[in-house]
Amino acid sequence: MKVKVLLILLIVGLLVPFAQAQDEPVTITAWGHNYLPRVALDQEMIAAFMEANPHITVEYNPVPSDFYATLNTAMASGAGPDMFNQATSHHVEYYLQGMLAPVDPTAWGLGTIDEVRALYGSGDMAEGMLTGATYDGTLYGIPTEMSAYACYLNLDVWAEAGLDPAEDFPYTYEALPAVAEKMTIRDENGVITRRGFDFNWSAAIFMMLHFNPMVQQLGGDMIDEVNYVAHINTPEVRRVLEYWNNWANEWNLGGPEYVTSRTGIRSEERMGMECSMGNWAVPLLERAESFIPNWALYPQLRWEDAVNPNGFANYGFYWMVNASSSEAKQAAAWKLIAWLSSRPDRYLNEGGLFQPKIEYIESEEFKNNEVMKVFLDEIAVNYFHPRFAGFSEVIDALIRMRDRVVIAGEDIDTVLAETEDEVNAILQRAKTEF
Amino acid sequence: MGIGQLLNYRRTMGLVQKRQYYGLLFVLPAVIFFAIFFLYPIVIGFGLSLTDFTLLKPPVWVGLQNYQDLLNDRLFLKSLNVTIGFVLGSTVPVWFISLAMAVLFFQRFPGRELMKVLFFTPLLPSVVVVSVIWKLLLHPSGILSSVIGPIVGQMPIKWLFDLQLSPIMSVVVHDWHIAPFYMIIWISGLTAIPPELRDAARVDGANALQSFLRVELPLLKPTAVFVAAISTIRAFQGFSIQFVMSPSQGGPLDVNTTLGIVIWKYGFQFFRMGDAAAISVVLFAFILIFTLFQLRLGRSDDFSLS
Amino acid sequence: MAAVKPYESDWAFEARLRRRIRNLILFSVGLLISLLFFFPVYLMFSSSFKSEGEIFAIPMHWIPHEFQGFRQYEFAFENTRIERWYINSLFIAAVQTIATVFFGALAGYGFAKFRFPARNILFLFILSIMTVPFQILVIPMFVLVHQLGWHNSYQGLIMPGLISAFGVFMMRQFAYSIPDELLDAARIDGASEFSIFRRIALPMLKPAAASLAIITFLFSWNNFLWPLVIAQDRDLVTLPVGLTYFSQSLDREPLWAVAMAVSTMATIPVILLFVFFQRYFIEGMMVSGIKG
Repeated sequence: MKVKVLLILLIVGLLVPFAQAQDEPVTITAWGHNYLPRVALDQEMIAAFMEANPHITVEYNPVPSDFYATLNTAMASGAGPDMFNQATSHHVEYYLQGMLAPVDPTAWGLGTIDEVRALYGSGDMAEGMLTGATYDGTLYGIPTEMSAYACYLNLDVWAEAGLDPAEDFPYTYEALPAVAEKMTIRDENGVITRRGFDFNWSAAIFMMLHFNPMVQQLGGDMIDEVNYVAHINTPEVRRVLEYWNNWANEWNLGGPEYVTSRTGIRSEERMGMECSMGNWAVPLLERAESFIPNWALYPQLRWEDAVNPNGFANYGFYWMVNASSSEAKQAAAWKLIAWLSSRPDRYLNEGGLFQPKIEYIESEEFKNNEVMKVFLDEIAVNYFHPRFAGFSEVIDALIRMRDRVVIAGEDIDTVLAETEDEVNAILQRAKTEF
Repeated sequence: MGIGQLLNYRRTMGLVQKRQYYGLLFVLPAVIFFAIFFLYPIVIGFGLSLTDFTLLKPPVWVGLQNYQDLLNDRLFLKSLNVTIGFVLGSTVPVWFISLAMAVLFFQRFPGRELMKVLFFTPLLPSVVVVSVIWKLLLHPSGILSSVIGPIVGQMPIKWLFDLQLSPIMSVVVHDWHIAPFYMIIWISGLTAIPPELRDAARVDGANALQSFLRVELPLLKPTAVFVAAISTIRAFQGFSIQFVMSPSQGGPLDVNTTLGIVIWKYGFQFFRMGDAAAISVVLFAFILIFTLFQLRLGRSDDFSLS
Repeated sequence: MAAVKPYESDWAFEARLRRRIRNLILFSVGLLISLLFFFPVYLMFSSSFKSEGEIFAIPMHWIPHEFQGFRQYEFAFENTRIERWYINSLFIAAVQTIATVFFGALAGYGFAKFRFPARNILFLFILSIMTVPFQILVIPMFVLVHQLGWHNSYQGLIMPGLISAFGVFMMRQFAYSIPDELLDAARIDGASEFSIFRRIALPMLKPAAASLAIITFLFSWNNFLWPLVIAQDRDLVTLPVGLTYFSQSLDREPLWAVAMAVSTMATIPVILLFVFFQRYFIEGMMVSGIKG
């Protein structure tokens, strides 16, 4: 007891000078990527924060586009922001260069980092939520949005095709082609004018978010993020790649050339279902001009003989603090981050973004949220996408692998073997350079 | 000419050599500006080609290693091919289309003003918007398929996803986008030709085509040199159309990956700024040699006029 | 051939007929090509009146089936400070255009009409500015502007585009066609070199200057990468950067209809500028000819 009192006195004694220092005026810069609903809310929250903390001025910059390139340019020039809301796919390099500051629990008025962790629950679940910003056991960021994707159905299209999701929803990749076929419309030349379902061929990131999880369901994993080794020339990868190839070329159910926008379900094409959108899609679907008055949400698809329970990959964005900023700025930044993570309800309802605080997850409001129930179930069983240096270059190589088979029709075994070598070379270089 | 004027003239002639220094005065503001704002970045940028630079930590000196690595760099070698193809497609056809349109709009006929504005418009929207419009036009069941499809009889046409067709479409969209730009330059070239010369040719009984070939074309040579040089420089640096329109930024299978795209990907996505800088130096050398060659071709004329 | 000389009126008739046929041919060819070129831009206009989903209708709708009126335009105004983007773009483009045209004409004239020591080296230097890929300059230039304390300021936005190597090169080419006799005549009259430039060279460079002005304005108006990395202050956002608020939101669905509306609004000033410069500078030159 005495020891505890002494300790508290000691801490208070140590903190007093800091407390005084904290009242010195300080200006911090905060960058996030541009997502209109969140930006509006961020701005409102930041205005309130500055009112509550008159000595802190926040310069908030929602980077309009090419967030990573802009942030990298600024960081490289020594003009980086004090805090930034960064995607899990893009902060490994920052960590490896010592550019990230560990989470400061005092900003929450808490003593230890474990108490901060406890805000996000306990056990596997919390572990999963914070994995995205944890390196070597140290927490470097606070989640601003946790995402996993599930399947949105356009019920009108299902009805037109004489399908009832309650009975006909495929659940497995084996059952999927038959269902998709019923909703697919082609013209007299065999050109698809409406897809029933299609993979998201639009961006390279989906090789990590969708393709790799399909491999993982079968027990494989393309990237070993610990040892920096690629496992691509494997039966699991082969099977998934063949499936994607058959989808486009054998079964003629879709393919990269049919992609006009990121999502087909919202376009007038009226795709029957779309499995690459998170909970943030709800406000988009409900926009007055949307073509989908009737929609339903179903779990992500899995292989019938899956050995792992995951569906899609988890990914997220985390507020992080620049380690090269002054101590006062870092302290102010964490204080703002604590503030911005204090209203998960508003961020979900107004911004469509899920901040996985346990207190909120256990609230009545959240439990009544039918949409989030589906996504929470997915997040609980998903794996985080692998995080490693050289991420962008690797997904570029994986897209090449996909297209060599699906578009150029090259021999799948050759492609797998060559891609494995290529990715291993990338990983080796990235490992030595960082 | 009075005697005073003559003396004045003599004196001027005597000052000829001195007078030439005025040229230095005229070019100095631009030269100083470029020396301050471009020389330093260029030197630094080229210096980076001798280092490994990940953006996030200080550059590490590696000498000529990056250049040596380029010889085995698959993406770089591929992009060399792609770039040469793009340069061919986006220079010569553009010269002819833009010149033809400039000559057409130089004639007087009803509706010309409106048509010129319509022809000018492709230059206006940003490349992002241009690309989304063309992606819709180039959908396998889009409008171009329904026009061209019955003619070639091969369905479906995968436009942007066809390994042969895709780079051609980049050229088509680029040329469509940029032709008005060169039309403007040609028009000012045509405008600068004194009308008396044209009229004189007409009086001699030459028809429009003859007068164009005999009188106007030779006088357009400085303009032609300029258009050729600029379009080549810009084509070598080709980047934006491919970056935003082609699938996965330069695909499929890198058939649209120009040197410009490789530089961007290496520098800003792959954390390989040293390699990006080495490619930039190579590209810079290419362009400079090409441009000097073009200027040399047009040289005799330029200098005879000066 | 008939020996009979046609009547004067027949000549006039034939000439008129010829002119009509010629006009008809020119009109048809011009119309066909300009519509072909205009068509995709028309789609941008029409898409700005469509709903989000209708833009992606396949086959596309020529005319919006669900006409949205100015909804997308209103959305842009309500959610962003587009009027501020306009002012920024206009200001930056105006400053850069005026400076580029003036200094371009000055330097171009100097390179074309004088033979001074190091002329070729200096021109080669300016030429090579154009041939360096900009991607490699972004970071060193950012560092430079940062050290000058100009990032996040109009100076930082404007400076790299204040004088363009393109402009110098273009004016040099056009300055070649100024007859030396005119310049020498003025020298005999005792005019100073600068007043010769101002009174004789500059007026003769007018058509080229008008084109350079249009082009520079357009480049500046559409410039994207530099304003994106250099200006973080929301008050400094320009139109092309602002457009990406709707067209490129990281991993979300872009709002294309709004992007089309913003883009449509962004093209209007340039069209007006084009018409203005064409009519008052280039056309004017054509009618009056170039007076020596």
